[in-house]
Amino acid sequence: MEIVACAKLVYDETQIPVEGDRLLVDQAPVKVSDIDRNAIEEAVRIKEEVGGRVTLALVVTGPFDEAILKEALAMGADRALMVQGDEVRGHNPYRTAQALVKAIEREGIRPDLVICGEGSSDQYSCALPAMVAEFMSLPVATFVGRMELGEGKLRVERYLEGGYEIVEVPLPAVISVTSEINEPRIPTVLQIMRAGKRERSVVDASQLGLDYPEMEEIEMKAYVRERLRKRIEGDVNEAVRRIVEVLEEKGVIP
Amino acid sequence: MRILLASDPVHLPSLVSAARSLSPSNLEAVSTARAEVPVDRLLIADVRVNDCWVDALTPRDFDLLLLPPTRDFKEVGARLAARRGLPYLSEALELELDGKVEASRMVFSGRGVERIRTSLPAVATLNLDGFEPVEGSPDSVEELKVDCTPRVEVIERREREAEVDLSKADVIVSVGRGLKRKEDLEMIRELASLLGAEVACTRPISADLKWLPEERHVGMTGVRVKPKVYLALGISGQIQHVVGFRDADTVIAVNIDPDAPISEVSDYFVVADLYEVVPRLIEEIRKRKRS
Repeated sequence: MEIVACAKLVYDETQIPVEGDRLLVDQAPVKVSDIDRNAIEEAVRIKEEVGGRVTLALVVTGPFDEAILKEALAMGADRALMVQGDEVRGHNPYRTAQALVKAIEREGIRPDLVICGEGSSDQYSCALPAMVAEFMSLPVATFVGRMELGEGKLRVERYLEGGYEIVEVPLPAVISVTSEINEPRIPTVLQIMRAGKRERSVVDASQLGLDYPEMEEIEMKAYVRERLRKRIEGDVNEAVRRIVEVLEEKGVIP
Repeated sequence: MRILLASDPVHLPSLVSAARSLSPSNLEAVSTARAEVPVDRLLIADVRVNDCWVDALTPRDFDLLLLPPTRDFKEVGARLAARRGLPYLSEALELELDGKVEASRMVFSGRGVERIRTSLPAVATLNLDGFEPVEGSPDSVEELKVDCTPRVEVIERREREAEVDLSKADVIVSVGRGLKRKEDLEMIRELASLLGAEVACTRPISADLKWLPEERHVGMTGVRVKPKVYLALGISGQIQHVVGFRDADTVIAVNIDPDAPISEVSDYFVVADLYEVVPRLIEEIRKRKRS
């Protein structure tokens, strides 16, 4: 089974410093987008079950970090395909999806299964898997929280707001997974060291002849919600009295 | 400005309200069932799967296509945009039109807001918070024939028994990993009932431990709430959770760790063990209710 696990290298949103209403994004370290780790894990589990090869298709949106790539590969991917350059920075899922698809095609990969995370930690627009499927003319199932491989098809559970949907998708297909699908493994130091030797290709998105609608970012601000930040420490009974006072003030209790 | 809406009948009245605030010259809607909404034309389409939604919308003419921000319609919107070569905005806020389209989006798990500008025609799923549903009569109602062979097959659909819609709750008592045992939810429920509050939780409590159903998970991939009071018990304050309650009027947090990040995003931060606070709080409120 030829499997592509899509992932995005993003700024770690939990570590972005804020200055006034500015987000100092480029001072944050990078990480593999959270739910993409579930996508990699699921790809590796399927390979372990039925054999085949996993290509980690990594979109590099900011600085590249070799250690992070090695750690992701060490989860069990056989090779890396990195897509980088100005064209995959900023918010334009159309452009990112097109770059990924063109890079996969240029490498001569004809996937039986493409697995993505439901949405990325930086943008969470949840658009990429759907767009990848359209550009590859493949069927798609999004927000999959469980899946089972059958003969030439997948049986998946889609986790939706009001319940779930069990769907059969013929292969080849594109799947987006939610974080409920598995628990991503943590590779050992030895696995990480070995992963450094794995085959990799680097594609500059400017070489792919992309054609996309422009999306212009005209402003980026920190969302700051002012809070009182009053600290209540010490005697528990006193603390409880303070909580009760606040609840009274807000009209929650008479 | 021709605006086209595509929606299930439940979200349609709020979507129409949002669309009308943009003063369209023509407003059309495609829905799976008849709805009493003030639009120029209502098209009823018998579509049951996303594949057919995309096929139904592909030939339609519009300047702006608006969809509700559900998981299904996020897939439909993105696929349609890719198929038609159009820009796509996901969960757009504060959308404005001036020959082009501008909208804000929440980024980095709610730590930032970006403003995006792009050309028309465009496709967007729209955040419907703050749009009151409107009622009215469509000027005309027609059936829309959709020629579609779906590529995926739906085997089964199961509606979850929805206990609660947290986004409408006035008071919320929420628990995180500081809660040690499932049985301890009893005292949390008791406190919530005394406060007329709903019980909510962080992702580990619903997704990993399964102590509470997913609809009570507040956060980026869960529900976003805006209560008068949000009481966060044993919650460290990871931003994926914080984004879910950022529109609460008042946040009271109880955490044993004086350095927990939730101290930065609460109005009152009580450094204490929730196991000492909750029973005393229950007792105190009971006492007041009796007197």
